[in-house]
Amino acid sequence: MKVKTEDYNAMLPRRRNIGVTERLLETETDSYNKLDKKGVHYGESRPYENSSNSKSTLILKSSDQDVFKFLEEFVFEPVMASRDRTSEFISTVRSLQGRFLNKPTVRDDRKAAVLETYSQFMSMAKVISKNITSTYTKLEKLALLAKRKSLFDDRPTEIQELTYIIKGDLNSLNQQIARLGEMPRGRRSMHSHSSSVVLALQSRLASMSNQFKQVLEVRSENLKQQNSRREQFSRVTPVVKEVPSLLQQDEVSIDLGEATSLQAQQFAFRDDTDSYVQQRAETMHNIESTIVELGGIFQQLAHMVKEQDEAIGRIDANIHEAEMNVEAGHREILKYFQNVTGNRALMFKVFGVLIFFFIFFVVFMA
Amino acid sequence: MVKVYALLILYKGINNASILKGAYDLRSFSYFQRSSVQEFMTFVSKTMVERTHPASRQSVKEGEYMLQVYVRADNLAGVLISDHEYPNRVAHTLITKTLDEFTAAVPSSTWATGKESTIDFPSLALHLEKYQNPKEADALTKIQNDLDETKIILHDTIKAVLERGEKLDDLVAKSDSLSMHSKAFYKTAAKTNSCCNF
Repeated sequence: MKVKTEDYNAMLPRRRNIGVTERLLETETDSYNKLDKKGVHYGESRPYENSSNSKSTLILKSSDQDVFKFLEEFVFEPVMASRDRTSEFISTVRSLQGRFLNKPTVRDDRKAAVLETYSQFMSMAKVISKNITSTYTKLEKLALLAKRKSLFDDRPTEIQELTYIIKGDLNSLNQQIARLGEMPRGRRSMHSHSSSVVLALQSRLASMSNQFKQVLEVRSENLKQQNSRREQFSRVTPVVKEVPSLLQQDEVSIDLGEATSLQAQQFAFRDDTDSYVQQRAETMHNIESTIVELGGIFQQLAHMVKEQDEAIGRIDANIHEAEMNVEAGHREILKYFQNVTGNRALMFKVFGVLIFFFIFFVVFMA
Repeated sequence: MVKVYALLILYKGINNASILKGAYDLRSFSYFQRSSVQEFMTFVSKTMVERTHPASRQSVKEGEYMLQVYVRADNLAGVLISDHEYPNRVAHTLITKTLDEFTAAVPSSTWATGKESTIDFPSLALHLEKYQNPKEADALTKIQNDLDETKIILHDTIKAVLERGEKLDDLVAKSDSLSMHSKAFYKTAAKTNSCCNF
């Protein structure tokens, strides 16, 4: 290979590493001050850059092995001149990459596999972002349609169709992104990049679905307004109830769309849809009110338990007191008992009785 | 007793409706009647779908059966044949859900031309089985029932807590009197001791 480079005598024997774009970006700053593999300093020569690109295209026509050896040994040269050669560079890289993908017999098979998964990943991400932009345009159209407030020019079928399409698109995009997230991603260095790509796509999808929701809300608002205005114009009240949810969007829009014509006849049909919608809404309300009630009950329960807590504290205090009193009384009685059982009291009593009788006898006998 | 007899998915073409897939539960009929009943059901559902406008629902009483039809905007239709007691809302929820799943499982290109044999959608029968008992299968009904049960349990709990409160009040009074008596006891004991000490 080196022989071939030296064949082009206009150039110095330098190498360029035109590998995958990412590796380039990484090694670009690294290679600023390095010597290349042959020990030659990175100089500056425009004719060299010129010929290098032609060299690369010429090299392409050579044998496969040589092409790839060429690839791995070349180092990306920093562009210190002010000319912007990125377009040429990009075209070169693309052509090389194209070749690269077709023939995975690189010196290092592992590298090839890694690069292949990486490029697959990238192409899939590209597809997904294209889908996202197309869905976005559809969403914009829907938003525009939903904003119209005219009473008669409303096009419910179109809106409904568009809604349906966008819903399907969002679902499929979701699935695609999920699949993308599970794909193998090659080396560690590409992990963060690929995960940030997936994250970016997911965030865009999320913002789009939020917008979709908002558009639907706006549409339902407008429907309600149209409803009230139609009521003013024609004295027949159209049979629409509640705020339609995402699921029932279709029926309600068709409702109003056809209410202008043959209303009496349509009522027989519409009633069923409306009653279904109404029933669902009713059930929802019931559930909601039950939950609210339950919340209230829990609160009351907590309150009562708190009060009883206080009562228990009082009981505790009372019993403590009682214990203390009983203890003290016990001690007193013990003391008394000791007094009583002690000999001193007995002796006092015995002598007291003796002396009393002595005095009694003496007084009475004398 | 709520019972679901059949669940069908049809495609409403320009002039007629074609059955894409159907699941039947004909255990309640005698063996010899089953085939005729099934034919009757398919015929009736086809007629209903042909008569129904797209993006609308209908619930029609038919003898002793109730027919719930839902035709979507893209001409895919679902029919549920049940008895009178089956709640309408649950039926339509089931139909909507089944249609959504069908759309996901079978590509829409085959709808116009599909026949029962070519289209494969086994979960239809599963759904039919599951929804025999609407109380359990439908999420809304289940939630409602659970919530009601929870409410009853909570009411009982509150009653129990009230009783507990009463008992605690009782205890408070008793402990109060206990402490008073013990105080009197102590005072008497102290007096006996303090009086005359030999």
